[in-house]
Amino acid sequence: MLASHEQQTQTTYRIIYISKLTKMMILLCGVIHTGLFLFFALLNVDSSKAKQSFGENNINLTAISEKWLSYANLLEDSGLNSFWILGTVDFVAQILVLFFMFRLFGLYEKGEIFRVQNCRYLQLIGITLFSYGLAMIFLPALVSLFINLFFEYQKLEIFYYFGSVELTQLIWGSVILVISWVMKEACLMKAEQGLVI
Amino acid sequence: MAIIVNLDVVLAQRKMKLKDLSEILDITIQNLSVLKNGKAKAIRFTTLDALCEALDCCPGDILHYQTKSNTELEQD
Repeated sequence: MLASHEQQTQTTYRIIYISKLTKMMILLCGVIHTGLFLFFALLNVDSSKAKQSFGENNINLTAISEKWLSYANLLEDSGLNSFWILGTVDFVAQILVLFFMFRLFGLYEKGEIFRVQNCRYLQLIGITLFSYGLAMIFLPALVSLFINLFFEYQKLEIFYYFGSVELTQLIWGSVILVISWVMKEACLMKAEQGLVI
Repeated sequence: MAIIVNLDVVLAQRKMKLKDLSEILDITIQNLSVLKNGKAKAIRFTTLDALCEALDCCPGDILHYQTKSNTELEQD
């Protein structure tokens, strides 16, 4: 019993330590991500470029995920700003996941592991990842449809992207969503455990 | 729930306070209060054993089963 308690304390200590490190990494990632977005946002005020090269093409930055680059080129050819159309979706999804993870690891850092709030953050991460997976598949098609219906640009082709990347994204979203429900059950069990005299 | 905890009745019969019982059993007064108010989800055999020993009673004196019809009648 004592050994088990000691082990639990060691595990909690480990969770707190690793969470602290993870929180810092998430913060760094968020800063880099926001910085890049702002950089491209400033660049794209008057242009439709979504890529930027530095030096003799040694450093290439892109505001849009690789999967959408061909569609971004198509939008640019039609005179549309691919960065604002596709880049913002990428940015919002990723920054939301980073924000929820930052809050979640903040709670873990405080040693609050089985809390309803943690389950909520996990659930939000799962929903965001799953929605992002759906957006990966349907966003280009929806954008094309919307532009074709409401704007007088040249007709855009309707694309659907479905491959291992999109499927992996959907799987991750579902897995995290299920884990959040498992955690919710664990929280309920812990609450009941507190009422065992 | 159909199980009623009569700890307050037994304590009154023994003219004992919850604080005294908590000292005898080495269980926090908060936990005993949860048990007394019927908010507990479960009771360990060890706790029940200690309670019976401290109060010199049987488990049936502390825990009482009330049928659903009885409960409804009481509520009416």
